[in-house]
Amino acid sequence: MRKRYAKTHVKGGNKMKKMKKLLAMVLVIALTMSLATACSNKKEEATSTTDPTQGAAQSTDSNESKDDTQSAEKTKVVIWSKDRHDADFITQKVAEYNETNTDNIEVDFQIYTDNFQQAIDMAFQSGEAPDMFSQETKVFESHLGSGRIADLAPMMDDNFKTTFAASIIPGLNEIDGKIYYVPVTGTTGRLFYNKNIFEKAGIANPPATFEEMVADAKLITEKLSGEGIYGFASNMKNPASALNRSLLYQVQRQLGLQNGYNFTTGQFDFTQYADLLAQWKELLSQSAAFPGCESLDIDPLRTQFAAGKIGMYISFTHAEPGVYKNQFPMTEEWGVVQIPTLGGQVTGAQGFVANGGYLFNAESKNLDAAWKAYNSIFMNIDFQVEYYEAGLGISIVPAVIEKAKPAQIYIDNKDLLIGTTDAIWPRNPQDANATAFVLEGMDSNATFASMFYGDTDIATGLQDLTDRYNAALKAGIDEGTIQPIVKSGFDPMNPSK
Amino acid sequence: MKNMTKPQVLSTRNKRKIKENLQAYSMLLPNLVLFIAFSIYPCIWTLKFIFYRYSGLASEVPKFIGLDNLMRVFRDDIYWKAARNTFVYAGAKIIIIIPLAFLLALFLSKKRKGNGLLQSVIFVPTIMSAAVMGLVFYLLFNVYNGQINYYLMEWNIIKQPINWLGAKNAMETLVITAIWGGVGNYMVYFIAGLQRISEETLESARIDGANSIQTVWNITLPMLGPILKIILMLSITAAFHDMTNVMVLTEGGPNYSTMVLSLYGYSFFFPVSASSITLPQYGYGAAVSAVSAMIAGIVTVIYLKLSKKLDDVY
Repeated sequence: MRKRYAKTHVKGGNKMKKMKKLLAMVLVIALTMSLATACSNKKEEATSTTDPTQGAAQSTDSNESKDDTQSAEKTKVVIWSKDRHDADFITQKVAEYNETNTDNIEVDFQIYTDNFQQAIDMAFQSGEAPDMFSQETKVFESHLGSGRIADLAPMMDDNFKTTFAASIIPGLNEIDGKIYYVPVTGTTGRLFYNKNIFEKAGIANPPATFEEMVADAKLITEKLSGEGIYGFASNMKNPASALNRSLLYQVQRQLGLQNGYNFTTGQFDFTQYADLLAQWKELLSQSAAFPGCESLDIDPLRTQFAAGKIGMYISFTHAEPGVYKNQFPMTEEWGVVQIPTLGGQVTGAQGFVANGGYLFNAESKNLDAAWKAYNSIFMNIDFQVEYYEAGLGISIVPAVIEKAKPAQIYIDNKDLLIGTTDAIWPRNPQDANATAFVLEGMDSNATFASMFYGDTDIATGLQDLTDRYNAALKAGIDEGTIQPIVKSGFDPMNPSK
Repeated sequence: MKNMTKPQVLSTRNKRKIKENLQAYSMLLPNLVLFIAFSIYPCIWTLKFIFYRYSGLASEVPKFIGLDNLMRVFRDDIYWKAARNTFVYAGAKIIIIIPLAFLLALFLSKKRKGNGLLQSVIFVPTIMSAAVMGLVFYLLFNVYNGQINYYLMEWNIIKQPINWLGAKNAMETLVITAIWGGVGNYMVYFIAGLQRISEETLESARIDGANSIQTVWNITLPMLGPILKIILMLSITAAFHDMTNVMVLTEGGPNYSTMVLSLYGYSFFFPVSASSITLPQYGYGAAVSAVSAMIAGIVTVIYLKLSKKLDDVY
């Protein structure tokens, strides 16, 4: 009996083992099959691309069947913006358009403020780029040669070309006869200051020279730091972001250089920055600056300015009015003036960025729908008038300027507007050949930051920077990947001529 | 069986062996395919670009430049600053986190009321999103309205706020966040190791007159040898490629004071705002990553050689 039990028990055990093996095999086959299926799908796709007729037939079939079942489905146009200051206004306009348009188009407006360039790069690499996205200098420069940015010229009618003629700037957005974006607003850097803090510190007027600005910042910090109020702040967590909105413009005005580049000699020369940087180092020292500037981003800086903790900072004219009206409402009064230079000396016009444009994804299937939506929403003159009047951006479109009554903020702060002292600067060889200009080591902004916060000596650091930039330029010219840019008789006061 | 000839027996054995191997290989296959697709292939792809100048743009044809990228690594001051930072970060993190995790495990592995809850609380940071962690620590450590400075000043420990994220202190702050985020994980490993030590062994040590410290030093620690070896190796490799923590809190700044090798390599593929790189440089990024991997590999090999003794279990 015991023997028989043992036998059946062993038999049962074997059965269990077999079952387990069977189950394991089934699982393995299922996994392998799923992988194989994935591969075979890829293969089908590959076949369809190698055999265009078959591929076309397949895609038409699938489109037809889709059309049958989803004839009422709207064409979705995806737009990525990098701006938050006008988000409420644009979101409302987009919602109105989605409700009223008769073209069966639905706009999906998304805001990507952080790492915008990276988000665009990755979206293109993964084939999920939006149909339209905010024009941003670095994004434009890095994708210009890739064929991914659509030429808008063929889609523009005569009326469009006439209305926005002033926005088509050869060498900027019109390259080799192709128009890649249409800027409608302009922005530049200015000094923003808190009038209440100046009054509290006993300072009558905003600074007219850079030396005065440093002295004012020190005075505010000395008198008011006990209340948590400091003289000056800069978003130095990202040196490029901080200095491209301040020092870059200051150098154009003071030295007539475009990020160290002298258009007359065709060479970089950072050594001329020495006196300016010495003052900057003072400005960012503990005796003048808001604590923790080296780890401060622009939005936390703005929240502290709105809270009345920062006396002065330098930023863009297009964004700040909207920021303190909508994003971080400010109760204290702020003012704006030109960026001061050493001794008030001005040898060049200040550059301004023609912005507010959108780039179109050349790979988009909805290019026509995107162009329609773009024209109806963003290029509508009434929209732009309302935008300008709301103080969300400074228009550079004559038809808009003529029709609009500028927002009170612009009437009260004339320095917010693009004026006669501002001009479009040409791109230097580094900006014009972004991918070919290979600089070894730290770039100019990171080097300046290391002078402010590290132990890099200003004089030797600037000489090294000059040498490295010129070496990168020479290497590119020697290789034939960079075209030299020399403009004899270049006048920094009229840089676009 | 008796009637079977020798070759017949062999062929049955071979068949069984082949069957068993086939089963094992078929089990391995899915993993192997994924490993090749997502680990081996990207490595080869990266290695190829060491010899090219390429920004990653579809329109650009990669240009063969020989060993230029590798030579540039050796001239690159920021790279060597990042290497120094990596060693400081890894060293400080390991020196603190391992003993701390061991002590926590020792204390919390005992059956005591509330220990389970404490274990879970200490483990929670391990499963938290790095981005959330970065934001929380920024709010805690920022100099102008951070909670740490607020309480330190409130309790009269400091008179002036400390610039925790400034160039001078940012590395210490990063190490603190890394310890907070990782100690729970290592504690769990140690608890697993402690549970393998039999109560009888510890009991006999106590009967022999050993006090708690002597028991830990002479019995527990030596018996944890093999698992300690693994924990140390994991912590070394983790510390060498740890970059999420750095990326979300300081992005390697200010002034590259917290730039580590892995983030530096990454920034050439996906530029980060605090660095000088504004456009991708796949070729140089590949060279940076390869040299960094070599350094990490050398450190691991040295460690494995030095730690052979830890295998000897008493």
